Amino acid sequence: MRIEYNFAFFDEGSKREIRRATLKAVAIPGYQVPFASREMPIARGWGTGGLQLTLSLVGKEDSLKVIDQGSDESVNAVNIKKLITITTGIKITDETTEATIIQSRHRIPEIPLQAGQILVLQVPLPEPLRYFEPSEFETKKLHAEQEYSGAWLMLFEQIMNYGTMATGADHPAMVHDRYVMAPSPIPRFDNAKLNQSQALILLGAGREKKVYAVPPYTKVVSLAFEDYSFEIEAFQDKCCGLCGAQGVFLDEILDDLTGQTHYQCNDTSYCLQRLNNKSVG
Amino acid sequence: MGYVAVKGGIQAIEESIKRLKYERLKKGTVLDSQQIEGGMRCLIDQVMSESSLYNETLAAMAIKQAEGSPEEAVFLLRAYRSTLPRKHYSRTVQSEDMLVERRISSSFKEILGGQILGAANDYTHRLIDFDLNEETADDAIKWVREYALESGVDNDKTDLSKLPKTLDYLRGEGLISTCEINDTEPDDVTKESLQFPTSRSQRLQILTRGQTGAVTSLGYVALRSYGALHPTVGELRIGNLPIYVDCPFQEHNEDEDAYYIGEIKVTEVETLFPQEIQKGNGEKEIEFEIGYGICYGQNETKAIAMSILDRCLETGNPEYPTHNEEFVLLHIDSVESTGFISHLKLPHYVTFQSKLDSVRKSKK
Amino acid sequence: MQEFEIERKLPMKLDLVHDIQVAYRKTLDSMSRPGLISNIRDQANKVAREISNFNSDATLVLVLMLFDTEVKFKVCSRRKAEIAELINQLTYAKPTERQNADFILVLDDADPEEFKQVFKDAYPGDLRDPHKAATIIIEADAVSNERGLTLTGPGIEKESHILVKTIHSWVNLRAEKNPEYPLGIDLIFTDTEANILCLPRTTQVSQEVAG
Repeated sequence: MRIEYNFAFFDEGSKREIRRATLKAVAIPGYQVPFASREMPIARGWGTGGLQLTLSLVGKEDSLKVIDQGSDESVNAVNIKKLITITTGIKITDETTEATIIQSRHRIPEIPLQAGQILVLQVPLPEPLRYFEPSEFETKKLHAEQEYSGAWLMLFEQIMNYGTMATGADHPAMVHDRYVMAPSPIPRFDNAKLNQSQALILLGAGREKKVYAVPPYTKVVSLAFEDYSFEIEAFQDKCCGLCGAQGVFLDEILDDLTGQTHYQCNDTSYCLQRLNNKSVG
Repeated sequence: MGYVAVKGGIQAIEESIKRLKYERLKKGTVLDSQQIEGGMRCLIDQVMSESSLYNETLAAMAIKQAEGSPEEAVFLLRAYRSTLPRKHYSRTVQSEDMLVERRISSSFKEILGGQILGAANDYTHRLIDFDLNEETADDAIKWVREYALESGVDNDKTDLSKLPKTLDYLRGEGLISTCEINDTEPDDVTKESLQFPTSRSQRLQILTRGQTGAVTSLGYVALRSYGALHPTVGELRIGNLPIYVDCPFQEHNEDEDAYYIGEIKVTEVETLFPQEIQKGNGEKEIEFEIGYGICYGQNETKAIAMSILDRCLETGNPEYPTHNEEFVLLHIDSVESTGFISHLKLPHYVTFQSKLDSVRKSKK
Repeated sequence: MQEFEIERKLPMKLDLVHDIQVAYRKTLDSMSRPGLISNIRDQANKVAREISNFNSDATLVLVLMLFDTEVKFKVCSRRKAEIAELINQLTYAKPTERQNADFILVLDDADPEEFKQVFKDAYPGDLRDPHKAATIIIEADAVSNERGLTLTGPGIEKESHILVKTIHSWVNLRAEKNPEYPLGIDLIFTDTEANILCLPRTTQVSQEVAG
């Protein structure tokens, strides 16, 4: 009964099914392609969709980076890397530029992605209309008919209530002028990176059993109104307290000793790289 | 000397795993999986049913590793199941071929073959038996031997592998409609995800794999208030079913050519629901509709609840949440529900930061 | 199906895990960047000569990559019966009619009339399930980036250029089949050099204006 795991954990049949679904996803940008979604040794909701995509892609020559909330060292990222290395033996890296595959939960790295890289985003809830319409049967109909007033309504209500759009992360975006997509809980700050990316972006929802894609050089527009444009999180004139970077997504850190708030790069490997370049240069 | 990342993650994980192992070993006892197999039959049955994998030894190992947590044990077994290549589908199983150990009907006092109470908790008094603390393996062996001698003297000639179905009697009397054999290839929910509207085979698979608590609760809901049903158990039977597979290289397979690969114990329930129907001439009639439940192992509550939910989903009355297939089927899987709830423990710092930003903006 | 079962039927050096993975990545790359021609000669060369009935071994690699018991396919070729049987034995995929096929293989010896019919009959998906549209794999004589057709759309920075020599012209057939995104068929071209070129339904194809 003891089994020797196949390269990349699951059997070729499972990989084949995901690969078929992925190719179709790339042909229909932003559309959620259903897939069978095997159970993984990591819990549902903890990145099994992203993990299955990565495992269907990965080969001996790949170099893998896994981050969670911007950090390579987050326990969840470490755990996923551990599972992938145990079943593949491939190289792991923290450097964004060195990675051929980047699996990420809730952030897109600061360093722009290039051709030759694939970004895999972990998605908890792939359906951008779900809060508005609980039924899967109905939301499929809405996508079929390009009936997205529900998404617009949500944003409109926020503006009415708060004077501004108040989505936190996972702000919906229109892909290739046809499908409204949930970009996964990346901050609004990262939405722009989906538009005309040089790299292929794949999104996987394991529990919901959907995979979708944003090919390179594809138009992705965050939903907004003419008079209320899409706004990203404002760090204004703040910069990273460690490396001095500006114009990047910052973590707000409360120092419990001094009671002072300071800011730090959320993308930890980006911060480290800046620090090291500075100390060398 | 460059800056390096603070590598706490791996160490923290390793320490956490050690601490977990400590919890399992700290009392100085190590459970023998065979003991679990011997003495925790019901937990094994529950776990096999929820993981959709029939193997008592593996289930016992998973239960040991999971320290008795059904949530964790099912997770282990499902992940294991994921790696197994699926080469064959078995031949259709006829539950009339079951070698029955327990079989009752609440609908009729007398049924062909009789009410066989079998091994059931139903008639025990739920009083903790402190004498069990003194039980030894020798006591067990002695008791089993004596019991075997007792049972050997049995004049009952009933063939327990050929007990007719109670429902067939009702069909014979014209009290429930006969249904045609439907040989459509069933859908396999582990090979293709659920699409709505679902097929009956998809619904039954999701229900049988469902977490016992979830299925039970929803069955209770349907029964007590929000389902408008008044069922009676037509038949509940528990026993072993033989499984056969066809030779994979032959086009057509006769019964005699099939290979016997083993047997599984199942619980099967057929529940009867009186339903009022309107005839063409405006007259109302009552007919019996059927709900069907089946589970690996002895899982009576779940199988009965499953049969209730089967009928709910067939009826599909939009007034009741238990009749809504998305509501029921998308939320009863143990691995999915526990996974998503537990994912809330993952860091959500960035998403929270985003929300903070929105909250601040709104206050400006 | 177990990998070793395929190996018993196919005495060749193709590694069904690693070679297929490399070929998949290249195919995915080509599908993500229409106009990018990927080459899988290294994998295709490992296919045993005696087994392959395909003009392009790259086609067989695609079959092994994507087909299994869940797949329905159609072969268009003079040798369609033997090829269909081979594919079924290797992958357990089921032969079916054009309208029901997930994948349609148009080999280099397909009948030109059938070529047209393939485009007419292939399933373009429906609005609820556009992903169910067929993928048509076409064996071309040669595929290159010489100027012939101009491509624009997702995956392409500005435009890309391809020249595809096939037994029958397909540009208009494809345009007629794919007028309404998101419905439409997706194409994969292979050639004797084991090149792979993909045209997802999102790609706009226009003929180069001469001069």
